[in-house]
Amino acid sequence: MRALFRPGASPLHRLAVAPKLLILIALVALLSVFGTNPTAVLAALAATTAFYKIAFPADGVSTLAKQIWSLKWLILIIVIPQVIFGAAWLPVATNALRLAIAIALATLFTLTTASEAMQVAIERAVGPLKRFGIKPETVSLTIAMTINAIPMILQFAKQTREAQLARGAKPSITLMTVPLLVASLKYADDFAEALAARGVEV
Amino acid sequence: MLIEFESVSVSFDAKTALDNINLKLDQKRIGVIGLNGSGKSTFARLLNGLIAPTEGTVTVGDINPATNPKAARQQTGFIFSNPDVQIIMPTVIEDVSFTLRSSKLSKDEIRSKALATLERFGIAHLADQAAHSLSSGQKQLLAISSIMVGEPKLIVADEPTALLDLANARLVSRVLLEQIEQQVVLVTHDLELAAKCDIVLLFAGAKLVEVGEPAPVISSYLAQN
Repeated sequence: MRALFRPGASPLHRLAVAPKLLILIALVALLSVFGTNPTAVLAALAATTAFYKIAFPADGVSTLAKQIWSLKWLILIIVIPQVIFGAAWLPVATNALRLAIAIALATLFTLTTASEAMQVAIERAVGPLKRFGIKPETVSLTIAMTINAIPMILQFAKQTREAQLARGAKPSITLMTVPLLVASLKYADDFAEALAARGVEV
Repeated sequence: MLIEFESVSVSFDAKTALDNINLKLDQKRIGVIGLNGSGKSTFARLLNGLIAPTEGTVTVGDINPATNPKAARQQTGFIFSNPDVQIIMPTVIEDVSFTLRSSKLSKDEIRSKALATLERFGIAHLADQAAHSLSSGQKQLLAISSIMVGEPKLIVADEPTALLDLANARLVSRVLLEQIEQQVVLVTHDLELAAKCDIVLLFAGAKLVEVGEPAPVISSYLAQN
């Protein structure tokens, strides 16, 4: 799942990063404590839907649905072993939904927070570590570049899979590893050169 | 601005990438052509200190990029062929603003300068979009904006249209050759583009084999290959 900032003027967009992060942590903590109660989880789903609707009045519900749908493989990986070992369906479904809601809430945080604002908050949070030789701006830049690299790596994975399919090979993790690694290392090399060209010492 | 190469050679391990280049250039549009591996990209990378010469001296304006790469990179903007590798920050406006991170401008001034630059290259409406969601042509315009916002004196473009479709290649070429007032060094396989330059350099086998008006140099290149 990849979530990037979506501009908007909602109260969630305007909320400062630190309180928004604290609210997110509090909500996830509440989910952990009361998450075994199906009614509480359904209430959390309703609240999450409302948050998405507030953040994106035009398509909040469909955005949330897309986020949850993108978690289908993760949910299946968690659900299938429990079903195989005979767990009752209600606790399994409750747990899966609880996990999906927690991730959807975290995604809402990134969807409503500009990376620039996040960087400022990170720099402020890492500020006290300056005395140990850690540069806050380097930490925030590294995080921004990591966010930026995710779509590139996903694109390499897609291209590798397509190339293997085109040559009649069944895509597999084993076949995928080497070309993906080579493409990623080449990207890292070119990216380092581009960073140097823009005056960033690497 | 005067670009000067004095007995410049570059070797990687045992392989010679450029062999004894002597050159003075002050034209506004400088085209660089040659086969793959002929030394074009090495020549381009010497101009902003991405590569240092093994022998000889490169001077761009008053700066020696090998001994003062920081100043060289402020003076010379570099555009790569793959627009994806040039994007550093997640959104368009942040990537352009990133160039000004070390300036003394306030955040608001940086944003308005970045927006004005995006406006100039026709992509201001994409300011808050994820940079990786842009088309290849838009990404290359973003790369140009990100460099131009820093007001460099020289632009070096290493095959900037190689990965673009015809329409985007024409758009980026027009921007580089017509819209930018700075001096431009354009490394290209596109001979139509090279023909629009004031002077063309032809590289072959790590050597500079011809320098001059575009038409005769391009004819010579076509005759040799």
